[in-house]
Amino acid sequence: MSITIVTSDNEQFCVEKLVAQRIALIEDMVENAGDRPIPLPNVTASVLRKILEYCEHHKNDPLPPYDDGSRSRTTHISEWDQKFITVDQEMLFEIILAANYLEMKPLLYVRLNVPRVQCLTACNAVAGDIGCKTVANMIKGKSPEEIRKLFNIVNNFTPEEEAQIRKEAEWAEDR
Amino acid sequence: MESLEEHLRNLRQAVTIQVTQLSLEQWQREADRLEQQWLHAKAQCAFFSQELQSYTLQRWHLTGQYRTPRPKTSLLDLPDELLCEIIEYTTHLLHPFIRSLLLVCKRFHRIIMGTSSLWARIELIFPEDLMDMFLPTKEYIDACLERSRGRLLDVIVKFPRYTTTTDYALDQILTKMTPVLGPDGAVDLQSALYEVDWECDSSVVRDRITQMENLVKILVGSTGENMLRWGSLHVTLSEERWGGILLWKMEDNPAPNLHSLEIMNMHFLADWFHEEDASIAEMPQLRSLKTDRLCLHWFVSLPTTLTLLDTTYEDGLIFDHLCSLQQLQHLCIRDATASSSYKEDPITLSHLSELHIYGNVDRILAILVTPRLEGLYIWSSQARMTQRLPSVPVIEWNFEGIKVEETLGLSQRIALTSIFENISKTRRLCLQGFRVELIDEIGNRLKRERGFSESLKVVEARTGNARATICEWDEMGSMTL
Repeated sequence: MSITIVTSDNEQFCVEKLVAQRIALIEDMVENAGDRPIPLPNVTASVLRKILEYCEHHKNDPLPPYDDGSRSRTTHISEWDQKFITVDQEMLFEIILAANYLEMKPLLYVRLNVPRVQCLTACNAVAGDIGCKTVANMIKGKSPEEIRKLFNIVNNFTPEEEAQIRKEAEWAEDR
Repeated sequence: MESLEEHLRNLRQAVTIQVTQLSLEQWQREADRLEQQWLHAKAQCAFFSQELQSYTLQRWHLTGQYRTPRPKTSLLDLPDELLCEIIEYTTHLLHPFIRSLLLVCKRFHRIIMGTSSLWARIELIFPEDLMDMFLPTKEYIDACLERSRGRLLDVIVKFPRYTTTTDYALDQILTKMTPVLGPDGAVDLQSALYEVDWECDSSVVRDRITQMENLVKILVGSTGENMLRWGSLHVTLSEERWGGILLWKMEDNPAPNLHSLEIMNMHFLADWFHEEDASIAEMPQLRSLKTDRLCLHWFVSLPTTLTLLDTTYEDGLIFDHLCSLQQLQHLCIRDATASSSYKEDPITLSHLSELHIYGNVDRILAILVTPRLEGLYIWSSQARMTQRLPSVPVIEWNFEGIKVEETLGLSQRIALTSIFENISKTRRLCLQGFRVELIDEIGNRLKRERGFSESLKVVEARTGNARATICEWDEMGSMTL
């Protein structure tokens, strides 16, 4: 059985129900939609295509457990997911925003294939948001200036404010 | 008289029954009415939801909204909660890095300063070489303690390799003299200095050690008050006999909220194991303990509610203490051997659901009784086992056998046959480190010969992260793959 999804740029996608069910928002809408197409006014076709690629790959994965806040904060991303998320910055943030809008915990929480014993201290917690993890990996080890340059962020501190923050946080060398 | 009273009692009872019946009917009608209303409301809800979706589609077509170019999406377009999530992942890699993030822009600063959970982690990661630059400072610890606003703390401490002046100096001698005297000569010199009880009293090194100890004191608190807020502690001790600075401080103060404790490099602290008066803080909430060496007297203080234990076999010493840990759900035993000093009865762990064994499996499987085991995970080079595998739905076996090509096939063949033959009620078997064609051959041959339990339905092979189903049999025992 398949359902039709219409993106914000008016492209129609015919999607296998099993695949669409990885998307919580759509799963909720399917019940009431009947045969009508499901509109996704906040997602473009190019982003939905990527998301469906993810859903297709992970359609047989067990659904992740309810996020009780105890999940491991590892930033490891599996090989396939790494390739999947190797996109330009704009697409990366579009995917993160779309996943957030679509309530796609199942899509964005990935079981990591590390030996079980390595994560015994957090037995159920081998999961993470690949989009956010990717951005975190891009940020790590960079100076404030490098982070601003990477993401095109304007430094809106006054020199006095910046000096004050530096003074308050003198626990590490600038890197 | 008696019959009159009885008559009246019967009469009253009849009236009560009638009233109750009337009430029941009345409420039944009310329930029916409400159910009708509920069904009607649900139908209306579905109808309007469909209408709304249809209007949304029509509006797009009418307004041509989908043709409007959108501005480029950037990091700052993410809502605060997603930025917070990213910052949390970033600080998880190196918590003191939070300072760099504070300086990016006003929005980052506002989010970080306003989120106490981002500060509920303290990392004292000292460099491997004591004299290298320290990242953690007193101000960093103070900032975390204050800005986490009373939350429970996740504390991570990693000490340098050597934290005493003499041990540090001896290591430096070894490093510096190796190019001059060669590796053996340098070790001989180091040993000779040990034997004559040579001591170093460098004031520069001593100052650095004092600086490090002061940071540990702040972390603990002058009267141990900060330990009251520790939720988890992961500590890597130095590599010397007297390297347990933090443990000495933990002896006298309780950590009532500590639920997870991980101590690595315990095996360097040889003497402390045997001191009867050595103790550990009271930890009534402790649920998870991971250590690379068992410290026997700990078991006196450990709560019986421990649910996860990850430690070493120690010639079976672990068995002496498992009886008291009846709430264990996850158990990992490392460096297991075939010998054991334990001579008592088998131990039943009635809540154990996951058992991980590194090394020889025989003694552990002979002693532990695990009626609720759901998964057995083994990393072993053992070729032939003497024990039957327990009744467990899933077994993952990672073969770490001999890597020499000519003997590999034989040892794998023996190990595989032994595994298949000793299965009792397992449904899924996942194998790693074995040749796929060998699994296929032995699995199917033994199935034909009824050489293993009928319960086994799926055999998988794992290579790295990839899994592949090698054999699958249906309920009738026919192959489905």
